[in-house]
Amino acid sequence: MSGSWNGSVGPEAMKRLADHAVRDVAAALARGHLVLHLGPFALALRTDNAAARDFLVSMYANCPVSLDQDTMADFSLHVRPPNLLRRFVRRQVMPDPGFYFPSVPLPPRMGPLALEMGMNMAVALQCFRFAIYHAAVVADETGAIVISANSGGGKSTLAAALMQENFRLLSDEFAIMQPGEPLLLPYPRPVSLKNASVDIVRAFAGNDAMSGVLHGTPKGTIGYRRARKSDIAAMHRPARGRLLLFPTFMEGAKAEVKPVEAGDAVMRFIAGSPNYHVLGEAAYTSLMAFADSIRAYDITYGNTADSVALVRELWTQGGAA
Amino acid sequence: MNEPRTTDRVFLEKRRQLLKLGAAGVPMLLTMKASASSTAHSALDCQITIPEGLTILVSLNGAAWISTTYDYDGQGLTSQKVAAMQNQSQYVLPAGAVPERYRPDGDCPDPCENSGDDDDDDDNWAAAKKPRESYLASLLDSLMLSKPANADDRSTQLAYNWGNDDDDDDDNGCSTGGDDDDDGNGNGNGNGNGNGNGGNNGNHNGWGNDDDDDDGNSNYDTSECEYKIFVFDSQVQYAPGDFLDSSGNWSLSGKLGLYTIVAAKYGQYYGNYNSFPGVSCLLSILTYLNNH
Amino acid sequence: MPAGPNSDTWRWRANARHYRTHVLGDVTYVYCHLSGETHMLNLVSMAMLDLLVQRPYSLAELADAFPACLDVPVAECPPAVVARLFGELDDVGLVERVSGA
Repeated sequence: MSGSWNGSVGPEAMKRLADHAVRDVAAALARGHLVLHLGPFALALRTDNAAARDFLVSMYANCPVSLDQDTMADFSLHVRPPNLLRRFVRRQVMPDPGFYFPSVPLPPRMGPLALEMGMNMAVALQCFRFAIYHAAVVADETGAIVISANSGGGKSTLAAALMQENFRLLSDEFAIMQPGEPLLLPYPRPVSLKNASVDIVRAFAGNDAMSGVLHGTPKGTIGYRRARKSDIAAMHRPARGRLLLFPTFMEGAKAEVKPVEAGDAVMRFIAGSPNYHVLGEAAYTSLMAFADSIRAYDITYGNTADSVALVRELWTQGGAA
Repeated sequence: MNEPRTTDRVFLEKRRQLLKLGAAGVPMLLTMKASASSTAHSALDCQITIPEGLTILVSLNGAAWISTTYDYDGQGLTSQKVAAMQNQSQYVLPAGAVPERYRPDGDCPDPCENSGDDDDDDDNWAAAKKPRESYLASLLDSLMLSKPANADDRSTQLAYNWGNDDDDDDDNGCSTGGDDDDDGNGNGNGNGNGNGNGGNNGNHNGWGNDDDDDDGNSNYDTSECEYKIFVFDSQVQYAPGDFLDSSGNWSLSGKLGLYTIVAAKYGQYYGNYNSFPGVSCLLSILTYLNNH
Repeated sequence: MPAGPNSDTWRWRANARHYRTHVLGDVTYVYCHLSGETHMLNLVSMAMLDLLVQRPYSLAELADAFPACLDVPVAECPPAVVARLFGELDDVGLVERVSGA
């Protein structure tokens, strides 16, 4: 599947964001004509927030985009001031995905956070073509590792660390499952890192892989690890799940692995889905096939090196898919 | 369809253990609920409706039986009433679940107290009077609640407490079958029981007589001091959030406090997948408190 | 509280055409076509569902048959417990009243 677009040029042949002049990008963004074609979704973006625009140009440089007025999109997102007053006085910015959801207005410099939050909301709450689960996904040629979201579990840090181990990034935020079959679709956006994780990932991924850092956000210090060119190039290549992990990070903890029964794993996995209940049998079918194809584990670790070693071991134990 | 595994002994035993949990009120069926998009939900505003006639029976050791069908006559507890209530209870919480302040004081006049016998009995009785609260119960009592325990912990905890509970249920506070020989030896006419608690005529003797054990037990009904019953005479709607002060601490008292504790306890054991009335409301509050 | 039947004489059954099952270890995931919901049944509730597929039962008949089905004495599975377990299936629409019964 891919996002819908108008005209004869598919996303593969489409210009990358970096191929467009920044002036044109800014103009298209200001009018809401910039459509980002990433994985299965086409997202129309609108903003005149400079921080959000600069972030987009830098972190999504390799993504296909169209700047045409007539391009159709699956979702639209407007990163804007909450009201006219806040456009000028004590300026603020917030994501507007076209429907109401509670969000805290942010200072303009936090435009990137508003952009990323809005993109998450658009997919999580508006996508009904695929079953969405809250998880990070990385893969190699033999299959995918799904890292279920667990508050403070270190999902994103682990995903970034596994990218360093030559896994490709499918998604930092969503396991996007094809209805009817257990295929996981890539949606390779920047990996969102919080607080200490920002420097941890910077240490092994390097400065060039990282965005600037946002301090003092409602989520603490935020930074992003960019999706690589190779991740974007593989964004239409789905993967089959082989490992489902429920990570727990505890400072200084000894590395531990505990198998999780498939039935229990599925229950926990569904709890992180915003749309499983809407998709009905199609989601059930794919999820049950997914459950049959994976081994699930609780993993606890006290540092990133341990987590990578654990996952490597589990990955090797499973053999080739 | 299920695989035909019903002849496997391990399978049968596993199912039997599950059934015990089911009998204790643990749901045997969970409906998958996606997290959906209820982000605007005001967790602290939710309300619990307690059905009319809901009855909570609390034992000395802090176990609780909850029934919506038992019709308590308000005329004092007897062993028959306790048994009837327990049979009709839809939910059972194991020993240690209810904080001490809601438990009966256990101050029964001991019919055996003059018998001069068996230190063992006294010890047991003392132990029954002052049961140790489980870690979870004391945690709950302060309501500095953490996340629900995982399934394994729940089973273990339940099984552990469940075993204790069974023992206590059978405790009549006086001689037990195993004590017969000793009793016969020393407690003779042990008619300190003449002090008997209300409703017990105290005129029976022969506590030292092995043969009389059954009679003695049936006549000396300590239910009134071994159990405490709480009845909600009419339907009550309340917001558990009202029990929170501005610092997020709980201040629980009265029957509503007990109900809040019992419902939270269920939530802690069994999570949100639980038919106990009000558990989802409480869990939303507890989640809110944990996250803010 | 479980809804349960409101007449002791009513008979109930599970219609396997109304749901799909998938066994994952000791639990069975059941997708109900009628409600669009997915349920996780453990060995006990699945045993009851399987029993109710075989033929219709009144609640009293079920209270008699279910302990035997589980190979446990009635004391371990008294009628009130059977009724509550049945109520769980009833609540989510996995059983239906047999018309005319």
